[in-house]
Amino acid sequence: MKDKIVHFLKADSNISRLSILLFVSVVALAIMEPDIFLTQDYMVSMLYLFPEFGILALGMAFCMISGGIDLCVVATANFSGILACIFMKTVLGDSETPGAGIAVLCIAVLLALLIGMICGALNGVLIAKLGIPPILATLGGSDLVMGLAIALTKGSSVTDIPPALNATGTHIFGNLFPVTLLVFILCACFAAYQLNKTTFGYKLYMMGSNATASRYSGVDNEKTIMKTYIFSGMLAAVSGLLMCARFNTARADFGSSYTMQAILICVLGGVNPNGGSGKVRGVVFAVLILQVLSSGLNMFPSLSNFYKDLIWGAALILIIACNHVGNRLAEKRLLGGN
Amino acid sequence: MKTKKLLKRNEFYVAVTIFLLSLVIQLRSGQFFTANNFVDLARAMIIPGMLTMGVMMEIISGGIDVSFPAISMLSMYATLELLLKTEYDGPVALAFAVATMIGLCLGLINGALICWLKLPAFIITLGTSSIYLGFMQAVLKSHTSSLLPGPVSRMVKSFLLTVTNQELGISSSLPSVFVFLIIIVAFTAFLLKYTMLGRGIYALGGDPVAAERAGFHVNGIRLFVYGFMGALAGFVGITRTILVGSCQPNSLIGYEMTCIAAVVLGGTRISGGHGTVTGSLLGALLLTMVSNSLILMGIPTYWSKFVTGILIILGTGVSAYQALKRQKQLAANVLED
Repeated sequence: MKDKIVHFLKADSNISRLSILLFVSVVALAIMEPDIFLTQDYMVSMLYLFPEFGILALGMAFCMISGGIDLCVVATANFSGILACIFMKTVLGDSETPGAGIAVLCIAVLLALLIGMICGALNGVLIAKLGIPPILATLGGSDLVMGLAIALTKGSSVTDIPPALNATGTHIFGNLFPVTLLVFILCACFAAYQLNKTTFGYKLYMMGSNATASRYSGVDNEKTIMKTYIFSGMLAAVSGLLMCARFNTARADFGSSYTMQAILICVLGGVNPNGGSGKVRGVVFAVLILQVLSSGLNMFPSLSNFYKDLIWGAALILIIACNHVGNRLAEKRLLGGN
Repeated sequence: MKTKKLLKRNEFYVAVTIFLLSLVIQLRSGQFFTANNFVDLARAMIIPGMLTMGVMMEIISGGIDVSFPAISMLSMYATLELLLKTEYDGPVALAFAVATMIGLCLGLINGALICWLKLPAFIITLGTSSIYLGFMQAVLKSHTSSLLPGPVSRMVKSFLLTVTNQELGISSSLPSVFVFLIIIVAFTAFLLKYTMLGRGIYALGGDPVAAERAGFHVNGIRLFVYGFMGALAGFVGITRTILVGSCQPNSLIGYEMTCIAAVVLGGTRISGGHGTVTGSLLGALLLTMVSNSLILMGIPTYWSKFVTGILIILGTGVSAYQALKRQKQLAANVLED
């Protein structure tokens, strides 16, 4: 019996740890501030907000599993958002017909996805074909893409966007189920499918744990890297559209803290920064925890918003340290068992 | 032979780019080769020049650091608050000493975590950066203020030399803190080239296992490198306050990427083991020129980020591509045998 429990905890210790953490934080907040936390509005607002950085984190997870990192996600998100908004503005002009609005919105979404894929492909080319280390390639790519976005908007924001985007993005089904949550679920399913059910996912894990070994096993590493960063760019574009919908404007400098948050979520969710392991469900749990804690902090007005930075940083280091100590203990137990 | 070797070095291409850029700026504006512009460039080089020395050392050792702007701002703010509270009015050296000590401690925390957790330094310092910044903004409740402690504010008006353009009537002054840049650059160059510690930093970046077997104290070297960066960042914090003339606790946010870009542009390999002081200084000069002089060329400043991105990609792409080609050649040879 004891063996079985130990086995279960070991098999997915990170997920069980995360679910306990999520449960504890929800219960703690519910006990401390039941009047605010347990209301329907508050719950819905939490569900409405997290997909923005959650989707970025999903893309980041792909890159981190491959052994790289994508510092370009926020720039890609803003750039595709800006282009999509400009496109909608130019095509739609002042026309008021709602049908046309929806049609143009659909094309704009496709356009944003395409832009995101192009940005991702740019990073992929730099990493796979030129051999630039991912940190630098995506750093340069981020400056390039964000520079284009700034130059395009001349540093100001794109306003007067047709109402279709805002109306669709902020819609809440039956006052319970925000559209953004639906988008997040779709993205998470897509990511989980890619990682678990396709050869691409299998190759990704292989390449992440040992790039040389995977190359000698006949895996086309270059193609896998390209695909990884294209996916990340595409997911970033989705997140960019959600941001534009929420703010009803497009700017080059939205969500500047999201890069840090996306990395934090991935590490918290058990994605190995050295590559090779990580699960979508871990990332989803980590996103939920981050949003619950973040909303929880907002309930205490005496704490300034800056405490969030402090807490996220401390959480990141703490989780890494816990994993490290856990791994050490597991190693010791293995060695002792022999 | 010597010219062939020269052509292979990144420094050479960066120097050529700087030369061409300065010619273009001169042709477009006629303002580049003036005493005023040189003094302004030297002044703008003080902060990036000092910081790139520390960043270069970390990258040579195989690490990286994104937390030094946070360290710099936190130690600067804490020191100024402390001196203001105690109404300190002695020599300005104490301000530098206190900030350097705070920075050293924060840098050592980075170093210790990196040694202990054995994870990419990028992720660790991203975390500590957030902690330091959050500590300054939330716990110390930092805010911009023009109130400086007496000794520091007297230092603001201390200049080495002043040049005045007779035609335009504009004068530019070189602050005394420029001396510190020279001292730090000379110290770094000496340390890297002539001491066992310096050789150890290169060895560690080349191959940590080999360095350990060769008898280098690997963790000690790591601690030194991050501690040095922290101390330097603390020192730069006060220097920057003197340059700007007011206490601006958020002014360096995002600066880490510029410094890393400068170091990498100058030919330091991000994977460690290679890098020179000259290269990093040239890289810093190029980026400073881009951000300072685009306006002289009639290019709107909102293009500067784009140009930086192009420079990073070009600067790193060329050498990375060469390395990749060599590696592929090698792999092909092995397979044929």
